[in-house]
Amino acid sequence: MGVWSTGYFILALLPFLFAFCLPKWHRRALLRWIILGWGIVVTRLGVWPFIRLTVSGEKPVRKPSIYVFNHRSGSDAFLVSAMHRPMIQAVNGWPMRLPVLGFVAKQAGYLDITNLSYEQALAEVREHLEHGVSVIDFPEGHRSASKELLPFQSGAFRMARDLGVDLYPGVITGNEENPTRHFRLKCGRIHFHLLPPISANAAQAFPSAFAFKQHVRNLMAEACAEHEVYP
Amino acid sequence: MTREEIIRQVNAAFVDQFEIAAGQLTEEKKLFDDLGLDSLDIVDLLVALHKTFGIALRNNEEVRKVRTLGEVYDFLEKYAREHPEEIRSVK
Repeated sequence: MGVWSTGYFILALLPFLFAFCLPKWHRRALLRWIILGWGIVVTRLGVWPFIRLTVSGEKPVRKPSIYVFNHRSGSDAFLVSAMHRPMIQAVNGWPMRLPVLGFVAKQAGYLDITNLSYEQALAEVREHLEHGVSVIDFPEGHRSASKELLPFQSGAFRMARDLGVDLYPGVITGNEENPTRHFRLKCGRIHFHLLPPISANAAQAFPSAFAFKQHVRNLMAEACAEHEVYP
Repeated sequence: MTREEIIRQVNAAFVDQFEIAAGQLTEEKKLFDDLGLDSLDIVDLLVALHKTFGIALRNNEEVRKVRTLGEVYDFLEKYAREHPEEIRSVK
């Protein structure tokens, strides 16, 4: 994986430097493509043939939307590249403090939601959506490191309702110990499945963001059970 | 307003607003850990209680200390005792 990543970094160095000559939204767009490319290289080539990724379900569309995924391990941030669309992720503070990666993520427009109030985060997400950028959230808030689906935070669901955008739930299975909390990789299989979108109108039909999030959580729990790699 | 009446109306608000099954609504249930609410959901809960009882609780310091459903009932029971002219059954 290190060899592939190093090769990719060398290839991406020029576009990376070029990105900083561009206006803000163009720079962000180019950096998101570079991050997406790295995600694809790592998850498709870097770990092959020791870890195999399979993909099923919906294909993401151009229309900017909110995507929510379960969060079993740190590899989720890379595995969402299986959608082959550059997006931003809403993350807790620590990934943004990583050297180089944190800087690139920040420059690409990734959101550090720990430092934002709901209203501030809503304004940021609205701006990204208006620029055609979809947003990925992991509503469990932190890694479960198990097959358990932790309780959800309601922020992403509230935003989908407040902003009137579609929400795509997705599940990633098989990576609960890949990598481990000590960032060790194991041989195995990982599956990525994107569920059908929930339209803005359908989201509005729920009496509250809580009811909406619980509905989506139930859908994701069922999808996890159906697509579990290691039942 | 009796405690039973408060329990009935609070539970109705939980069922209507959050679609939580009535059978899950017992006094010892923790709002965050057991019922799955988060800080943003609490704001919705306060709005629902406002609609139900006609009292604005967003700036109430005591309501911030509430952790379980039983404490919600206790808080409203105490509030009804101390401010009988303010609390009312809207529904």
